[in-house]
Amino acid sequence: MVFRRGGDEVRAVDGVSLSIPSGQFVVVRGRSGSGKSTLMHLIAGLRKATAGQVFVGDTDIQSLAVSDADRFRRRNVGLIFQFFNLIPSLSVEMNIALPLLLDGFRLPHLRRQIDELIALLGMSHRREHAPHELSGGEMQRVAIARALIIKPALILADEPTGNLDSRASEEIFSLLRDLSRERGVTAIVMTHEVEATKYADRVLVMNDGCIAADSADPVDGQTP
Amino acid sequence: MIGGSSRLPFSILISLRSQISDRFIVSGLTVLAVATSVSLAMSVEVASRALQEGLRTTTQALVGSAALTISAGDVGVPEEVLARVGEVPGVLSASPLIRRTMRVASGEHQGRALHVVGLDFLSDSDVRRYEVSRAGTVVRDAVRLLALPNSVVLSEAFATELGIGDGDRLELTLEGRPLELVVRGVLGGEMAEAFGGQIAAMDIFALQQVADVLGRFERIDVAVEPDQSIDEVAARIEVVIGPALALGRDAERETFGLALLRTYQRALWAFVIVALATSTLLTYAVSSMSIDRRLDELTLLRTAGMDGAQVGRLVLTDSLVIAVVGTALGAAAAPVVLRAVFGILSIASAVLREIELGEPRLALPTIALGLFVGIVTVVAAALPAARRAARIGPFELLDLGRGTIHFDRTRRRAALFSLVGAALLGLAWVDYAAPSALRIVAGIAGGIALAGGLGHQLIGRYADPAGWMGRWVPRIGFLIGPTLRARPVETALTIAAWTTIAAGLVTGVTTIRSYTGSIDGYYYGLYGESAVILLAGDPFGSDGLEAISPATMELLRASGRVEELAEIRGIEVPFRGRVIVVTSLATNAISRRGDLAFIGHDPEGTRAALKRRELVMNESFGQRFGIRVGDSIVLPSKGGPLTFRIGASATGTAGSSGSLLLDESAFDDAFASSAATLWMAALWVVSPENESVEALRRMESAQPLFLLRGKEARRWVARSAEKYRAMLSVPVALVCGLALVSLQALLFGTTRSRRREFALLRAAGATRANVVAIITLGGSLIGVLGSIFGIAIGAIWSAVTCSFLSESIGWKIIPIQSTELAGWVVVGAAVIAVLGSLIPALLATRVREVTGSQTP
Repeated sequence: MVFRRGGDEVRAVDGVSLSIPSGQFVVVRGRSGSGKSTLMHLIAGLRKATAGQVFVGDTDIQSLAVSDADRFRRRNVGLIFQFFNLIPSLSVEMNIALPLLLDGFRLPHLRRQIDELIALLGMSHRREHAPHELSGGEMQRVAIARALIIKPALILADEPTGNLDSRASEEIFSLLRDLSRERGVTAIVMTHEVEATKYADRVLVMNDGCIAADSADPVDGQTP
Repeated sequence: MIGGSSRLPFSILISLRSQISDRFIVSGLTVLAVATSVSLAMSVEVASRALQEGLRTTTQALVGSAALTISAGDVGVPEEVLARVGEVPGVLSASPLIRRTMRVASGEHQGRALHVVGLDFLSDSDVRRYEVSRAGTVVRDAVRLLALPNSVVLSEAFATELGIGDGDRLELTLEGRPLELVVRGVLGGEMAEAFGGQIAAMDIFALQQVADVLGRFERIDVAVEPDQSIDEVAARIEVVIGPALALGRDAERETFGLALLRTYQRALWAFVIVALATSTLLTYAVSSMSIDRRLDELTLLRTAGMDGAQVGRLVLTDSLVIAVVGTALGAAAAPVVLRAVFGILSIASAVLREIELGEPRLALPTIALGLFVGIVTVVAAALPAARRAARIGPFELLDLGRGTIHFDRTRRRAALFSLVGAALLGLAWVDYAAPSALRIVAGIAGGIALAGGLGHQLIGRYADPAGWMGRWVPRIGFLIGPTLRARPVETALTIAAWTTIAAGLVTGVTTIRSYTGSIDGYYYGLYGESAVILLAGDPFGSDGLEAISPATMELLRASGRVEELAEIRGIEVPFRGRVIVVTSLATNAISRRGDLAFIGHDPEGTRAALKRRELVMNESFGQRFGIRVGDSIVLPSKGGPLTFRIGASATGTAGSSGSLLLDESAFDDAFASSAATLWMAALWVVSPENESVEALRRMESAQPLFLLRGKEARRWVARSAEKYRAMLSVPVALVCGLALVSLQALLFGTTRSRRREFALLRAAGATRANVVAIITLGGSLIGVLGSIFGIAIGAIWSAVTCSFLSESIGWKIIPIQSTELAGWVVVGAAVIAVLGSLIPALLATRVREVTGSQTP
C-alpha cells in the first residue's frame, strides 16, 4: 500500500502476507505510524491496495466495486474506532442498529436483537440515551454492540481503548475476547497497549509497514 | 502558507489562512451573497436617483423660481386671471404655461414623444431659466424668432437625435392630428434638460391655437418678491382667483403615472431588502458555523494565552475580510446589474411620465449605501458569533454535549421569535390597522421572524431520527433529521431566507397579476365580455397612449362595423388644492351589455345615482377628502362652477386623490366645452365579431389603434404584463441565486462539521448514494418548508402591497391568489434546493471513510 505524502512516497503496508483462521482473536501491535491502521483499512475494504489481495471468507474485498465493498462491510464486518464511534444525534439503540437501518430494516423489527445486545453489554439503562450522556467505556460498548448486530464474520477494532482508563480498557479487551470465543467471530484489534496481548489468541507486531513478528510463526514462537 | 515575514496583523493573517485554506467554499459563497446584495443595493440606488433626478430636473425646469402655481386641471385657467394675478402686491411675475405631448409623425423616430411647452417669452424671464439661440448665437428677443404660429425651438439633444436644425420642418401629430412646425432655433439652459431633453418651446399663444385651447392656460406659475411672505401673497391671490381655481405649492401634480412609477421604485427597494435580509441571515449562519468548525483552533488559541476579547475580534476580522471582499466585488458588478435595474425604471418612466432618464452616475450616497450593506450589516450579523466565540474557554473541546445545550438554549428564543413574528404579521395583515409603510416594515420583519422561529420549532419537534422521516424514507430517513438538527439555528435561518425569497416572489407576481386583473375585471366586467376596448397606442408599450381623436371616432362610426359605441372621457379638475379625475360612464350601454356591479357594491344605487346625474366617487376620494354619499361638492368647468351631489360610492382609478364618475350625458353637458380627453372607448361590433374586429384593425387611421377583445385581450394584456415581469427578472434571478447560495453555505457548513459522522456512516456501510440522498433530501426539505412558509407569508404580504398600491394609485386592488403559482414556487424551490444540495453532497461523498477513526 503506497501513499504520497508531501511529494514523498510512503510504503504504509508492504509485503504483508498472513492468514487468520475463523474465530481467532488477534492483536496487532506496533508504534504509531507502523502501518496498523492502514492494514485494518485494507482488510475492511476502506482503502484500495496498490497491489495485492485481501480475502474475507471467500470474498476478495479489494476487488469489489466501492458500493459492493460498502454493502459487504455493512453485512459482514464490524468496525470499532478509537474516537467518534457514535453518531451524536442518534440514541444508543439507533447507533447500535445503524448498519441494519442502512440496510433497510425498520427499528421496531430490530428490538429483540437490540435488547439482547444491550443486555449482554450491560447497557439496558442507557437505551434511549444520547452519546454525549455516556462515559468513554460505555461509548465503546455501544460501538461493539453496533459491530455485533450484523452477526459479523469479522470485527476490526482500531485502538478501541486508546481513550479509556486501564480498568475500562481491560473490560473492553475481555469483552471482545469473550465474544470472539462465544460467537466464533474473528476479531482483529490494532493497539499499542501491551496489556491487550494477554487476551489474544495471536499477536502480530508491525514495524515500517511489515509484519515484524507473529506469535503464530513457528520461528518466533514466543508472544511478542 | 501564509505568514512568514508578512507585516499584516496576526488576527488578519490567521483569518486569511482560515478563510483561504480551511473554508474556501463557504467563505466564497458568503462573499458571493454579500456581493449580490451590494450590487443590487447600489444599482437600485443609482437608478432611483436617476429617476428622482429626471423628475426633479423636469419639475425645476418647468417651474423655475415660481413659488405658487394656479391651475384648473384640464378645464384650464382663463387668460384674464393672468393680468389680475400680476397686479397682486408681492407678486414678482406671473407666467402662464401650456404643455402638450406631440409625437414624431414619420421616419425612424416615429411615435417618439416630444413635450412642447408654450411660454410667454415676454414675462417668463423672472420665472424659468432658458435661452434661445440660432446658429450658435443667443437670441435675446425670442418673441421675434417665434412670431410665426408654427415656429418652435428644440432642445439640442432632440434636434441632434432627429438630425434636424434651423429652418427644417418637423412633422408631428397631436392627438392624431397632423402638424407641421418649423425649427427656428435651439432651446438651451435648465429647461432644455426637462423630460430627458425631449422638449421644445413655442409661443404660448401659438400653442393655444395649435392645441385648440384659446383663451385658457394650463397653469400660471407665480414668482414672489424676495421680501414677501409666500403665505401672505398666496392668501391675496386666493381672493383674486376665487374658489374655482386651485392655488398650490405642488408645482408638479401627483398623477396616476407618478404614483405607479414610485410603486415600481419601491418594488425594487423591496428586492434590496430581501437580498439584504438573506445575506445578513447567511452571514450570521456562516459566522456561527465557523465557530464550531474552528473550535479546536480557537480553543488552542485560548490555551496559548489569547483572551476572550481577542478571540471575539478574530471572528469579527473574519467577517470583515468577507465584507471587504464582498463589497469590492459587489461594487465591481454593480454596473452590470445597474443596466437591468435602470432599464426597468427607465422604461417605466418613459411609459408613465414620458421622461427619458439621464445616464446614471455613481455618487457619494451610492458608495455609502454599498459600504453600509456590505460592511456594516455583515459585521453586525457576525457580532453574536463573535460574542459566543469570546466566551469559549480553554477546555471547550471537552464539552461533548455542547450541541444539545445549544439547541435547548435557542428553543425558547425561537418560540419568542415566532410569537413576535406572528404579532407583527398580524399587524401588517389587518387592513387600516397602521400606516402602509409601517405595515410593510412590520410584514417583512414579522414574516422573517415567524419563519425562522417556526422553522426552529418544527425541526426540534418533528425532525426526530425516530420520527416520521425515519418511517417514511427507507434506509436513510432516520439520518435526515440529524442533518437538520445538527445546526438548528442556521437551519432555521436558512428556512427564513428561503421564506423571504419565496414570499417576495409570490408577492411580486401576485401584485402584478392583481393589478392587471383588476384593470381587466374593471373594463370587461363593467362593459361585458363582448365589448371591444379601443385605445390609441400600445397600453404596455414604451410610447404611451394618445387621446383618441374625433376623426378616429368618425372613422369608426362610418365603418359600418360598429353597432354601439361608448366613449370613456376623462377630465382633470382641481378640487381642494388637488387634481382629481372625472370620468364619463355610458350608463345605458352598461345596463344593456355589462354590469355595474364591477364598480360597486350597490349596482342599483350606482345606476340610480348616475341616472339622477349625480357623481359617483371612488373610495380613495371619500377617504382623501372626508366626503360621504349625500354630500355636495363644487367642481369648476369652463361655464363656471358646478355643484354636484355625491350619489354613490364605487371603485375606479385615476390618481391617489381619487376619482369621480358621471353619466356620459351629464358629463358632456358639464364639461363638453372643457378639454375633456377621450382616452378609451368601448365598442360593440356587428356579427361576425371576429371579422369586424379584424376589419377595424386593418382600417387606415392617423392614430395607432389597439382593439382588445374578450379572452384574446386578456391574453394580450397578460403577455404585455409579462414584459414588466421580464424586466424584473434580473433582480429576481439575483435573489434566487442568493437562496441557492444560502442553502449551499448551510450544507457545506453542516457537511464539513459532520465529516466524521459521514466517515463513520461510510465505515458502517453507507454507500455514496446514501450520503448524497441524506444531504439532498435535507436540503430539499429546507427548500420546500421555506417555500411553503413563503407562500403563506407571501399571501399576507400581497394583501399589504395591494392595499398599499390601492392607496397610492386610488384603485381598489384585490389580491388574486393563485394555487398554480404556489405549486410552481414549491416545485421551483425543490428543484433549486436539490441542485444546490448536490455539490455539498458530492463533496461529502469524498470524505474518506477512515476520517472517523482518526483523532479529532
